[in-house]
Amino acid sequence: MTADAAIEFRGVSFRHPASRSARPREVLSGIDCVIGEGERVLLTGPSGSGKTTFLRCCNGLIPHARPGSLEGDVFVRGQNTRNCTVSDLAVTVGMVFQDPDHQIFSTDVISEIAFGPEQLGWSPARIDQAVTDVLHQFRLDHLADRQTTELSWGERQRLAIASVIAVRPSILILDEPFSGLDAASAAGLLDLLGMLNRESDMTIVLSEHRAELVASWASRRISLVDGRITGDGRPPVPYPPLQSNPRRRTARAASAGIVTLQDVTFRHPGRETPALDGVFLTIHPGEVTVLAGPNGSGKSTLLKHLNGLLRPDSGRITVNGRDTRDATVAELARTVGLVCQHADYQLFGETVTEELAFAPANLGISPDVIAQRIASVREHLGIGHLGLDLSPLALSVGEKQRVSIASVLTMDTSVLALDEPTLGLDPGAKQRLAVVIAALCTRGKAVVVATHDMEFSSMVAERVVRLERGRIVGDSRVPGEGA
Amino acid sequence: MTAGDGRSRRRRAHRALGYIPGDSFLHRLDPRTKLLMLIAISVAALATTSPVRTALLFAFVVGLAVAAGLARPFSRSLLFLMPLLIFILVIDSLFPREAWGPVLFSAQVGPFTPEITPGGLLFATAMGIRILVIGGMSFLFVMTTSYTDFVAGLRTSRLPPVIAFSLGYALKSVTALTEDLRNIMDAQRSRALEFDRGTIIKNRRKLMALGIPMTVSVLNRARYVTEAMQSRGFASTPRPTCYRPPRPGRNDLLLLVVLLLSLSGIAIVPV
Repeated sequence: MTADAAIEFRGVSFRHPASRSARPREVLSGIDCVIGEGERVLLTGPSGSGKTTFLRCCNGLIPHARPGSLEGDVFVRGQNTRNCTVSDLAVTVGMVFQDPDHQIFSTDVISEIAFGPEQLGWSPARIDQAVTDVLHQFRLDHLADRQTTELSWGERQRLAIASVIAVRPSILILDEPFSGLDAASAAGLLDLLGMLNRESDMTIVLSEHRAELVASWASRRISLVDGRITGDGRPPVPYPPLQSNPRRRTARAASAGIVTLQDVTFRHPGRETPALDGVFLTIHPGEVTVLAGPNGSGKSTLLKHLNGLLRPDSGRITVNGRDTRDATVAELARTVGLVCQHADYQLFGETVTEELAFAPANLGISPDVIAQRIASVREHLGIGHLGLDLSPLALSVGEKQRVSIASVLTMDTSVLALDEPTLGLDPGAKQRLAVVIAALCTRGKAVVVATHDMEFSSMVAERVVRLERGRIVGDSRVPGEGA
Repeated sequence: MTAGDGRSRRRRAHRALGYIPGDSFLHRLDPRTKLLMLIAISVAALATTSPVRTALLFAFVVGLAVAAGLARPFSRSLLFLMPLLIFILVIDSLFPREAWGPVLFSAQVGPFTPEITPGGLLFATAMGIRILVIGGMSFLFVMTTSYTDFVAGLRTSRLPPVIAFSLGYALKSVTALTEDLRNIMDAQRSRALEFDRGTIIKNRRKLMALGIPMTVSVLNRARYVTEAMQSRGFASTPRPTCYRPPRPGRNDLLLLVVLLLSLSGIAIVPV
């Protein structure tokens, strides 16, 4: 064991158990790596490169909770993870998962934070102090009495980290903690992580696709490709900026709208404040409209109104001139294709082919045309390497996300609505998606994207509509090349 | 009715099955009091075949719902019992365990001889109301008991943490599953799958489109929760602290007295 090592990987390889649907490849392969006390490590790599598996090795979930074969050893502050349980390591290593909803299981904020200290057998007085400290540190004091289900995504993300920090681990592992966070929330979280690192010399290892956010913060960058370390840089390697939308941007304010929202107000059942409040908006063909705004501002709610999943309490929405209240979702889906936020809620086919053919088959499109569309979409989204007979359920998060987007693209609708489409996507996949969106607009399609990913937004946006508390507070066109 | 009205009604109905945050007297009760009440009322309903007594039990449950300000979600939740209620009414009317009076209808269907009698109809009514009593009380329990409170109640009853959290997770799953179902239906509707027309049962693809993501979601959720709990030290000490244990108060005692008196009163009602 190397002196002053917080985490050490010694000849580590990991392979998932063989199954009909799983690909026969090592997720991690021959990893040798030492992470010192107090380091701030950024783990990067494309989707499916093994980042999450690497992180799960750090707190013993691999080999104790995940099936598969682990070769080599992982040491956490001198302890071999094979010889202690995940619970034993919890005092030393705090783990923040990619999706806060996968981590938060209590119904109220205080119970969630108190869970770790309770399990360690702390006295109620000590737990009380820990809860108060963490609430203050994470600026969650005003949410102390709230139910966890009432929190926005950003608030849940902060709570997920706060509840891990409550037991004061010396090592903090975070799996894409900035996913789904707006720029301000992400910057705030980064400041907090910096403070934890400075004040308590906490070792922090985090994976993140939006490397531009973390590049200046990290003291070291480890790059993974196909389960192998391909780069281990100190100081961090500079990141090449992604290319902006190659399409020539033109103003379309004067063209007729394909979707119009007129004074739309909507309140979720049981909620006091409206999710949409007097929204007027026109979506134009051939234009990319980005919906921006903080967590809980109404972006997803607005998207679900476009294809009739939600109906306005008051006001009117028309799609191709037809009031959404007079049409079923299936009828509206012929015009508006919506990619929902979580791919797992959508994927069910036995094979990737079945998944991609599902929606166009529902529209009654002929098998020949469907086959052409599948081939085209696979090529453009960069999922051609995924076998068509592979189970979509066996894919990595980023691959599932791309299949989920592809399965709606095959509908070839006039309007494409995407809800946080870059979750889990690596820079290359984002670039390809931006090119696909540009090509759709060239063909006269309207694209609406709800995203916190400012980098992606700058790549694709021709128009940015900003929402806050259900109201449109800004609507501007992005000056284009030659505009 | 427009297409949207039906969707909105279903969305509200889905919400009715889960925990509804609130501050009613039922919410404030010790979860163990509510569990005891659920068991006592269910046993009482199972112990009688009298339509009058089961109706009185149902009135008691409805009274609780109204007093807690949950009349609307409670009535919506009962809609979920309708298919089972209709099934029981039909079966118990034709093949009652207790029958008396003149035979109003009789037939020979293969080896079966269904008969409708006034006594059989009353018996079927009692069985139907029994379902409403047990189902309704269970829904009230789910609507007013948070996962956290329930687990804390079980833990202070010295139940092993693994059992307490497993039972709590089962309760939480009621809410989580309805939420998942809604999200999955939204995702599939967005891909032009029509749930609004025809029956789901007749269409294998519709079942697959709902069933597989639901199964994956249930399995994943269980795995995520297990990993999250382990990662935060679950069961690392044999006697974890209970930070905010529920403490039964005067209202708990009062309600148990009212329950006891009500059940005693119902037991002596002549049938």
